[in-house]
Amino acid sequence: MTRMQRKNFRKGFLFILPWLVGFAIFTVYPIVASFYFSFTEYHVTKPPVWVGLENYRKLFKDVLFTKSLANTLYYAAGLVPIGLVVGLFLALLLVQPLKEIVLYRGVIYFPSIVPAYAFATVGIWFFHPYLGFVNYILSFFGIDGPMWLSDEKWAKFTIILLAQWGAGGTALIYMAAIKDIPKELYEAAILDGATRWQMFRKITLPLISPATLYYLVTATLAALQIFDLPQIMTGGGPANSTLSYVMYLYRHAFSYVNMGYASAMAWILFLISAFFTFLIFKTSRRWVFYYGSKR
Amino acid sequence: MRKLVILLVLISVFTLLLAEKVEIVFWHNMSNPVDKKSIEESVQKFNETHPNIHVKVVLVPGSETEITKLMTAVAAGTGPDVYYLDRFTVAQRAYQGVLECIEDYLVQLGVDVEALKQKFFKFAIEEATYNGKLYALPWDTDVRVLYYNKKLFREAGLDPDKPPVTIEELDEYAEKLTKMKGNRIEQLGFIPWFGQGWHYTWGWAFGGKFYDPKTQKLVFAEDPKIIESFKWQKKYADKYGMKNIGAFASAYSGANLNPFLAGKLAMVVDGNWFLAQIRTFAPKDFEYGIAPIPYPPYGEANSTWAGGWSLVIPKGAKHPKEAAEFILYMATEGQIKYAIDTAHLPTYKAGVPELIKKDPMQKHFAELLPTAHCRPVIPVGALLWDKLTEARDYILYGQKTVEQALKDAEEEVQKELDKALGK
Amino acid sequence: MRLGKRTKERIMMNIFRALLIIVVAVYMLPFFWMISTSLKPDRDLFLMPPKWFPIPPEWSNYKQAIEYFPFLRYFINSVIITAGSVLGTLLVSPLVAYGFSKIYWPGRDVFFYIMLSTMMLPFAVTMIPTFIIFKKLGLVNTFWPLIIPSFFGVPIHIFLIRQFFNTIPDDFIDAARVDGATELQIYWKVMLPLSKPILLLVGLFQFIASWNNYLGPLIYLTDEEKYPLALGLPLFLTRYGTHWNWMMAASTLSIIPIVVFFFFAQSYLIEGIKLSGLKE
Repeated sequence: MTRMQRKNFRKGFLFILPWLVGFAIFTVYPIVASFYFSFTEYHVTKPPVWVGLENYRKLFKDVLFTKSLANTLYYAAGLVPIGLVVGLFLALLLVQPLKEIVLYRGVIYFPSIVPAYAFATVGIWFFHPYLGFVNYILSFFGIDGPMWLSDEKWAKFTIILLAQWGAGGTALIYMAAIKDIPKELYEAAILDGATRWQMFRKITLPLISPATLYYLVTATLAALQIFDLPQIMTGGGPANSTLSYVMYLYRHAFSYVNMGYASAMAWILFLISAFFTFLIFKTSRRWVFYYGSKR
Repeated sequence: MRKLVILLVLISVFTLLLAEKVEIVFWHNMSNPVDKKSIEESVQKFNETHPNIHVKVVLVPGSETEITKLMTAVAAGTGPDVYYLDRFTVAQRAYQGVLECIEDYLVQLGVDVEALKQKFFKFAIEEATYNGKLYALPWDTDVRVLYYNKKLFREAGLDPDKPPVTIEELDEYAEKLTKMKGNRIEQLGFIPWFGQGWHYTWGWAFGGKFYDPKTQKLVFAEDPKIIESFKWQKKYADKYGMKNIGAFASAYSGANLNPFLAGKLAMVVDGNWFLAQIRTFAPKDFEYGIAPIPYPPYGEANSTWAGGWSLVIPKGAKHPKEAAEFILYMATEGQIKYAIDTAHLPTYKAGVPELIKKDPMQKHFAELLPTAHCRPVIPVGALLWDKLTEARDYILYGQKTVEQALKDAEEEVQKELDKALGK
Repeated sequence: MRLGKRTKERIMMNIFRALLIIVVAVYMLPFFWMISTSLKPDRDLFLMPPKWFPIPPEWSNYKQAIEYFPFLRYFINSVIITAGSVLGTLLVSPLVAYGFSKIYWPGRDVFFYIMLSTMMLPFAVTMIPTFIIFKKLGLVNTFWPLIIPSFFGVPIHIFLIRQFFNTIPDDFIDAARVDGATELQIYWKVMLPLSKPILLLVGLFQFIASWNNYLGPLIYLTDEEKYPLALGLPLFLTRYGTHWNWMMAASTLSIIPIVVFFFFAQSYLIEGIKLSGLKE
């Protein structure tokens, strides 16, 4: 290390020190412990018994492990891109210079604060195959809408759609990012005769890419750990078609009290999460653009 | 001067008493105001009559199998002395080492355990026992019956005072009570698996057997009667289409959706607690009747099964002996009061006449108790439940044949059971 | 006929307006449903199809709702827990984010990835060991386990703030460094004022996460007097009939602070960072 680097190291390290201390006190032990438990049979009330790779071996023979993992990857594949489009679309609408825009902004975020139970009941009515709003609208176009949550082939997708009511958070982040873009850039583009679409592609999209990176990573991690929505809406049914990975893990951890097995599941999820995060960061060098950053 | 001495003596005696006072902590989740009040009053009475013990009640939110809080607390040694546990999981939790054996402490208290057991219904004691010893004392219970909508019966030209008795009649009525518009259901006669129409409900009504305690083997996949009970349910799925039915009455519904209360489903199997819901939430002109669960000719008349709750001492309780004393009080005197206050069915036999005196409607249910089934008492009860439910879904959605689904479930659970039994 | 630029722009705005109104209608539904249910009498709760407008409204549900559990007590507990954790988040998370963004030091990215990786294990398996740590610290059955972690920085918020810090021009900070400002001064006088909107957003997210947190209070609190609202609301769910109307009334009352917070925070969110003049 050069003198400059050492100086910077000292400075940077001091700034992240609070997190590092918290990490050492509250996070290291639980992570290490769960890693150890994943190689044991552990019923919580009795000391864990070492079983080597037994839990992992059992997992790969467990039908529901495979099914819940497949369901979860489906969720992630739907939630992450759809959430991005919806969130960004809302943000673009909400930064338009309309007089009454303040009113709209508040409303977009409402579903995110409504307690999950209220959210779930209205979701059930919204997508009710006979009496629901969505199929009513579809019928105007001569479409006989699907059975949504009661169809094992549509249930997961319905949950993905329902989750879009929570897109307000992403929209707010994007709004903040869009508002940060220097107006001069647009003004210059307009003088050059750029269209709206061109400005969006060439200015907006690159300049909000730091927010997009954040969104992709956190949304992927959240999707891989999806629990609340399927738990409340369907309890994992019909025929386990909406059972998510963490729901199944939770069942092992607390209902059957197989903490060892649950920990093994958790570590496999950890590896999957780490893999996707790595992929996103790896490609991010090509598309994330920090305006004004030299390094 | 003498007065002062007396005062001093009194104060010291009082302090001594206070110092010896043992505090036990009781976690329960009966958040319904009526239930909660009854419990609190019983606890208060116990505290008054047992000056050496003080019971502190903590209401814990959460539903049936939500034991996250208990497991976390027990693992860290901060658990309560008394906990309110779903009774059919007692054997499982005892096997997992979550519970203290209450029988040991009852013996220490000088209780005649055999005589005590006689005062409760048999199924409830069975469920509270693990390896021949009591790990819980039973609290309330419940039964399942058939509810039917009299108004819809009349509209369909059926006699509202003659509910179906056999499965054949049930099918016939269900057909008459169903109204279709195109291929959409307007009104449905019956959905076997809705409400409390579980695998166990129909398995027993069809005269089947799930588990043989002598050989410690699960036997449902080989039992022709149980196979038949699933095949019969499947007929409904085929006839109306699973999606149509699902749309009508999602088997899983955490929300305020109940087609029977809405007058769109004519008959339903549900628990005795459903009575209170009808009284509160059904429209004013709602007319309903109650009947035993229908059965096939080779099945079992008046069949039902009972679930319910129990009181247990979690591992690591600070004062297990006092906890046992409190549980004994609650399960007996407390339960009689609870039955009167809340109309929940008691497992303590002496509570039944009191309950019926208060609410004559409860007679329908109480009469079923002496012969009620209970779920197999095994250390993997929750897993068995989940796997049976899963098997039912696979069957209804046509993903597996009845035989295959049951066989898969049986094999998987048996393997875990053998492990738990040390085989 | 060719449309003038102005007219074209006005048409465009009205298209946006129409789109927004549709979107808003859809996004209003859960909220509307909650209020509508909170005003229904018991016997209207299970109608099929449901009644969307409760006429006449049953105001007494609100009375039932606040009498079902000690509403005010729980409300105050929620306020204390939430205020503490929002304060911790805003004090510490940006500080850590600065260490991860504008100071270029060896090993920085390694620590950053370690921090991200702590978000990858499901809570279910780390819950019991974490609980044991707090027990050893003697903090079980206090508000501290629900507040303290935020004072050590919340990874997801640190990440978000870092992303926004990264977009602030280096030139700007280097200029301050040349002028002899310490890093702490730069952080305090340059970074924070430029990041108000994102800090408010983080505050809002933490506010809601803390206000609605169920699992944390469930395992750590064992005195009813210490329960927050998030533990009160599930008390309405009973097997023997859930009064959805009372529950929704309680829910409506419980989110009022969030709505107030949001509208307060919003005026800041609108403007964004006024960097335009700074960036040439």
